[in-house]
Order: sequence, then structure tokens, then C-alpha cells
Amino acid sequence: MSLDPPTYLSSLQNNIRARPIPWDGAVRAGTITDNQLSKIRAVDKVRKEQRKQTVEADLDGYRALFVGGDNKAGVVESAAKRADVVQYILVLLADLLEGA
Amino acid sequence: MDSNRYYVGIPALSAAISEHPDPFKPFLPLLAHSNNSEDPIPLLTSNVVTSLIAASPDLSTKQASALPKLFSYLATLTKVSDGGLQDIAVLEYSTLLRSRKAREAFWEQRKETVGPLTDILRAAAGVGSNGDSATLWSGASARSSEGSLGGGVGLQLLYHVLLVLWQLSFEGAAIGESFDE
Repeated sequence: MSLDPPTYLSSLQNNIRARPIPWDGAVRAGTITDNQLSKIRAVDKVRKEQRKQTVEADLDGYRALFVGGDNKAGVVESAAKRADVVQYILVLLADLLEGA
Repeated sequence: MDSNRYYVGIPALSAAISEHPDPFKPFLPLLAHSNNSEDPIPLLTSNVVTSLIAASPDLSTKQASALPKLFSYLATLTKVSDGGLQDIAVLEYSTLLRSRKAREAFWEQRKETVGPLTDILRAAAGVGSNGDSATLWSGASARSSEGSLGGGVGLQLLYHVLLVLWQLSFEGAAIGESFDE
């Protein structure tokens, strides 16, 4: 038996994936760091296999990207005031976890 | 059931995140981000937290401690009038309840979690919450394009609610006796 993901959720995720995020502006505003942006770009809108390889080669880095580490907040927290960035990151993380 | 959904992803990332000393800290406040049930942030957060919890068959203490807030948020979704949102919540329940610890935690919060599910069943059967029976299977119009029963409850939602109750029944010894409440 398999349960398809609900259409409401998939269409919301599709909308968010298609939204342009002004990443460079977010870096200039201090919402995210250069280092975080390069990790995001390395897995955003690339083939699934390549994405998987990139993440698996840098698990500590990707954990720190999303949930923080070494007393530094991850993007989910540091971007808290930017709803568009948080939404995009949540969809990206779900895609990485679920292989979407 | 649903076994592919979480394993075609990157299990090593789930594992790495769960090794973080407090992996749910960034997410839990977002579940209470607003009282608007259509706010995408808590909805997307619940999806991520559900994935992180369901990725391992045995719940760690950290995972178990994230459940009450997640269940509380999902319970609010099961009470809205939008069948699409209700269905997301019930499917996330179903994913979480594969674990025994999660079924026990769900039952601990049964007033919050199970109550609205029985309301959905009552609505589907055309029975008011005060127990007066209206016409069974009255086929009211539904928002969804799929088939629906009384009270506009979609068949898919009804099926998923029954699935969740069936999963709970695995804790029969602990739960069965008080199910009648």
C-alpha cells in the first residue's frame, strides 16, 4: 500500500520551488552567510544523484546548514524573519530528506 | 506502507541531523508560527519534522520529545473545515504512528488528537457530535472533486482516518479498553 503525498502539499511545494529568492541580497542583509549560500546552491536545482553525492560528502556541513552547530545558528533560525527564505529552505530540506 | 517515501531520500542526512544535540530546536517554534491554518511555514515545518522523526524505526528520546508539539499542531489542522489540510495532518499522523512509542504518545494526547478524528467519522456518518443521527450516507456536496459522504467528508480523508485508528489498534492492550470513551 502506498500513500500519495497530498496534492495540497505538493502544489504548495511546487509553488515555493519556482519562486526566485534574492539570495545575494539575503547575504548582503546578513540573513545567511556566503558559506551557507554556496552549500544551498550546490544542491538546489541539480540532479538528484548529484545532490545526494554532494550532501553525503559533507554531512556535518549540511547538518550545520540546516540546524546549526558549533554555537552557530542554522539557516532555519538565522532567516527567521524572512518568510520567503524559510519556506524555500523547508522545501529544500524536505526534498533532500525524502528524495523528491 | 509508504516505505519508499523516506528512503529514496538521503537517509544519511536524517541520521546526521538526528545526531545534533538538539535537532528540533530550530523547527518547533515554527509550528506555533501563527494561528492561521493556511500559513505555509508551520505546515512545511510539520512535514520536515515528520520526516526526521519517521526516518528511524525506533524513536530516540530527542525524537519522542518533539512529538507533543507536533501532534498539537497537527491536531489543530484536523479541526479546520478544509479537507485538504485535514488530510495532510492525518497522513502525517499515519507516517508517525508506525512507531510504537509514537502511538503511545498519540494516545497520551487523545483528547487533542483522537477527538477531532472521531468528529470526522461522525460527520461522515451524518451523526452530530451530540449523537442525534441525521440521514446516514446523505451525500452532501464536498469541496473535493472526489467522492464524499455525509458532512462533505472526502472518501480519501475518511480512509486515512480509519487507517490511523487501525494503526492505533496495535496498542490494543493499552488502548482498547478506553476506546469506547
